[in-house]
Amino acid sequence: MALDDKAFIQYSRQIMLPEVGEQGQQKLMQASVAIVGVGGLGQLCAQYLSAAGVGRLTLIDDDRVELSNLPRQMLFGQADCGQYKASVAAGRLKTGDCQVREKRVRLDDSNAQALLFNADLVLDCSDNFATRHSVNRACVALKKRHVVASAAQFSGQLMAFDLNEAPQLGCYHCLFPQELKVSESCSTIGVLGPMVGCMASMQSLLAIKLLLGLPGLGLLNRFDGLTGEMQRLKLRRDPDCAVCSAKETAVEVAQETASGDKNE
Amino acid sequence: MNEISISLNGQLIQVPVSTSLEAMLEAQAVALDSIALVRGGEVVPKSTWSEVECQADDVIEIFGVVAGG
Ligand SMILES: [Zn+2]
Repeated sequence: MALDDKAFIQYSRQIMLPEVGEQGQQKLMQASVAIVGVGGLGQLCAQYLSAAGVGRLTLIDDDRVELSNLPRQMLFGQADCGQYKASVAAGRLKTGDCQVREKRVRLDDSNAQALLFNADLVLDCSDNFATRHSVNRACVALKKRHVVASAAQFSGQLMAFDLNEAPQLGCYHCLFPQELKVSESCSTIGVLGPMVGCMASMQSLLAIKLLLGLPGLGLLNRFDGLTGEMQRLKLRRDPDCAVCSAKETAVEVAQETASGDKNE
Repeated sequence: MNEISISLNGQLIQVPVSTSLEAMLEAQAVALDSIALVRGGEVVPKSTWSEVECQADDVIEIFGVVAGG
């Protein structure tokens, strides 16, 4: 499948990057991405990915647009208040080349695998710890690549997991076990629109890089919006992780532990 | 008693040799159930904190999960 003239012009600034090229653009156009949460993070990722020419997006969110969302969710306007975010976003983004499907449901353990089954890449743009763990469990079970971003106050976190290509990095549960105490979310703690936008932009960039096959795995990025500092930390699998270190992967874990832990 | 010096979130602290990460955090009154830990730029999985010992000049950082979006 060659790009037609219109696509070639439309995506020319991407295609002229050696890291993308015509082949990379075709990869994007054939890709299917699931976005969990169409709030501050998800509405911007959805715009960037559809505008970049990603072929199919699935937008998963059961929330409706509220007035207090508007400072950071600029895909929505006052007239959208009360409407489902997934539907409003899908309506706005469908006009391009991207096929956008809306799922007006709350992702949980009962539906996560069905919702994410067809995705080449999953973006966790949710706003709470419980949903993040449901996304992670499904991504581990389905062995899906998975990009996680979050923001609250002036703190942001970004990371990606891929149990096929990088099992030594583990999963979200290895880093933040579900028993961890967490009180904040955007609904109870303040945040500025551009702070969420920074994290969503970095999440979109990482998503596109992974779709193109560029390196992007291995690091937890912590962004401090007050100082502007970005910390890059190495991820590490928990050999006792309740989610990703089940029996079928016990051999891999034993190998990693043998090669990794002993030289400390 | 022999002590070593380590850095915890940018502050130098003294701990006895052979102190586990978990014992060090408890001595600092850190709530273990709300943080992740990085040593020398690499995540140390929580399940190993009771076995891994602090080493002299360790640079350790702890932080909570950010879940909002
Ligand atoms: Zn894990």
